[in-house]
Amino acid sequence: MALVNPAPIAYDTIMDKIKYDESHSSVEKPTGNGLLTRNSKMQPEKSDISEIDRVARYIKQIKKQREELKQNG
Amino acid sequence: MVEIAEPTFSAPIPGQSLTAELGSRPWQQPPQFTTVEQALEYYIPRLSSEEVSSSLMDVLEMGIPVTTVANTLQLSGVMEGKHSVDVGILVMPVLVEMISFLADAAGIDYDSGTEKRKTKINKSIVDKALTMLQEETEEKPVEEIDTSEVESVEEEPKGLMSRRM
Repeated sequence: MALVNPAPIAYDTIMDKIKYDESHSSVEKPTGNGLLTRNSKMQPEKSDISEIDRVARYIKQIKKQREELKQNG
Repeated sequence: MVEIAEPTFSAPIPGQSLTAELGSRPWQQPPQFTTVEQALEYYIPRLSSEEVSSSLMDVLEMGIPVTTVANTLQLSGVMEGKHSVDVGILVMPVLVEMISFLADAAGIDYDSGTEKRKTKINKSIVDKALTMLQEETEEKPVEEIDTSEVESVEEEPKGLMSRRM
């Protein structure tokens, strides 16, 4: 039978990704000490971030606002 | 919550989509918004506007899940040629979250549509399965294999160098 509404699956996938990213965010990549190594503190450009990461970021932002709204009443 | 389609008999006939000229439909044209950001810039102000949000809250109060509303929104965007299906799928979770936020702000009790339903096992189905299993076990008793009657058959040598008996 055909799947009518893919929204719950898409939402769950993004939420799983956010959870995965949060659990693996503490692991830092080893960096080199040479002059030509890339500075890890430098933020990646917008074009470097994949679309799914950008979507996850927007969801996080809205979720944050929802939590603030719940706390403040 | 995953909705499963029920059989419908009012579906278009095979090949009906090919009867219109190619490019005559909005979704056959290049999409207006090609990125997630552009699509969100289109949707979020619309959702936040008073006119749309009041009717949206009415729909949610009627018990229609947020995921269904988000899917309908993005599907209409695809049909209008606003964005592609891919962008629509990517935008959908953000729309779900945004609609939930608006409903929270309005203080409405709504169905998010993302909670997994607890599947209730029907007792009659369990009983039927048990009776079927019982019938099967009664019909087919385990056959005992009598190993004493099995005769050992010696194979005749077939090679060129084998001795003739």
